[in-house]
Amino acid sequence: MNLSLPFSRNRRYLTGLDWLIGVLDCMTRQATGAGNSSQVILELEGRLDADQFRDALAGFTANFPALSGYPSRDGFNLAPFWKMNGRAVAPPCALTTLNGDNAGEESVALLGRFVNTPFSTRREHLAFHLVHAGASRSFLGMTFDHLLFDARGAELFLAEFNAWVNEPRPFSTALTRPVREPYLSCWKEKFLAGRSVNRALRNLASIKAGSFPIPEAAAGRRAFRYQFQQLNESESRAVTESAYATGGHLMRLPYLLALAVEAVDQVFSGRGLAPEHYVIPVSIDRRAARADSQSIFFNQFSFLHFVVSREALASRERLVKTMVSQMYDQTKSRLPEDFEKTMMLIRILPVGILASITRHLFGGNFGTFIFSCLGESAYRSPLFMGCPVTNLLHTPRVSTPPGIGVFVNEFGGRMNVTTAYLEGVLDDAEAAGISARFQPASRKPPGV
Amino acid sequence: MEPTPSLDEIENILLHAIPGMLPQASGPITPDSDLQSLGLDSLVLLELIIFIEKKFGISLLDAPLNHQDLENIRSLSRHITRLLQA
Repeated sequence: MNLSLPFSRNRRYLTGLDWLIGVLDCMTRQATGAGNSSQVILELEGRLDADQFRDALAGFTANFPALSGYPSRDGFNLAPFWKMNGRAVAPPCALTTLNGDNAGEESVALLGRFVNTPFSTRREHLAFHLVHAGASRSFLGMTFDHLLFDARGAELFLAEFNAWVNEPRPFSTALTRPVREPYLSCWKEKFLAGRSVNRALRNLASIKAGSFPIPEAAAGRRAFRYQFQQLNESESRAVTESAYATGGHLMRLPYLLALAVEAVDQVFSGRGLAPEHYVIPVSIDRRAARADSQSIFFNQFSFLHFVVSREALASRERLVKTMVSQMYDQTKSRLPEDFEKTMMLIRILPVGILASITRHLFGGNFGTFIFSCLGESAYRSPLFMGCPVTNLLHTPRVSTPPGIGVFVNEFGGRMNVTTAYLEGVLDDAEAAGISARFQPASRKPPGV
Repeated sequence: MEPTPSLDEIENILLHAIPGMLPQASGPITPDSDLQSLGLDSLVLLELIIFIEKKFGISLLDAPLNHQDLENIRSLSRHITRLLQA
């Protein structure tokens, strides 16, 4: 029986995946001194007017109390929720001006540093940084708390903001107050899902996957760094065609994952190591499954887990087929859905305790690296407040361990590859080598 | 043994099932709607393959679908009909 009790309109009950993000945030904070935040960067032509932007931002964000909310727990049913009281405070927006020939590259590097700055209060989850790079370019970085948005949600938030600037209008309550009931029902279904997820996770935990050592935090703080590879339209098309030719029509995710595995394997080889297995958690957007493609706030994803043995690395074709086959098996066994349901059961435990249990279960090894392929951006407008948008990048802080992630997104048919890594886990050349692996001209089969 | 469904019946089954799998399908999907522009990607495709395998008892993973087969519901229905008749 699905019982729904009345609940406050100031509460958005957190899902198990939101709670999992809280656990990863806690672990990342313990390992690196800052949480599991992320950043989306808009690269713009022309100078975005900082004052105009701040004014518009204050007007827009005032509609969304969730932006200044914070996690709390229901004293009656113990379910965690996001408390949304009062008006949202306008997020800060700092302005930096850079000049010189390398202003563009320096801007992205600068924004990469901003994402490592922890939020100042428990009610701050969003911060903007505008960089004027010379006279004709701007970079706008939106750093966000992963508890509040996932990457797709952050793109949708910027798209909503730009649409509102072009045509101010009242918002629906569904958008401004994304309430959600606590889902304290269907226990049998959740426990059955939990059984299959427990089996899958124990299998994963028993695999001794290759991983990079996490350096001891220096004075409690370590920053993430980023190496980008931006493909033009024809290069992006070439990668897609290779993916379809190797894995089958539309099989781009398994192909891109295979490229990432090859690249990471090369880093291990460079260090004289040849792990028998790699384990890769891959986050997948679940908006489609919920018929809710425009959902902005909180986390709407689940995970697939891939295991790659050394034999599968013998050829790219074999590697891609392995990925397709594992994706098929997990989709068929409904593992992503079961994972979501199971996570609902864990919400009763505080994040600190869950972090310890998770660490114990996996023996500190949470896979080799994290992978995500966002596909074409949800920010579709060619303009942002009148400035032409030339690219959109993501610079996430990756949950640590493993402290390394490979992320692919697309803007206007052009692919961006971002390798994010905790300082000391990889060196800059190794990380640049991973991103460069996606450039068609430098794509080589393993062993060549 | 159940009789082999006709092309129209297959089209109808897919017309009911596919909209729930496609995130960007805001309006009605017709047999000629371009599936890829409606958001068909590798994840949705695998869900679709699993649905077809269950519903029609055929295996699609070993006989991969190509671009023409996946253009729209009509072309996909034709492909399924061919496999059912083989």
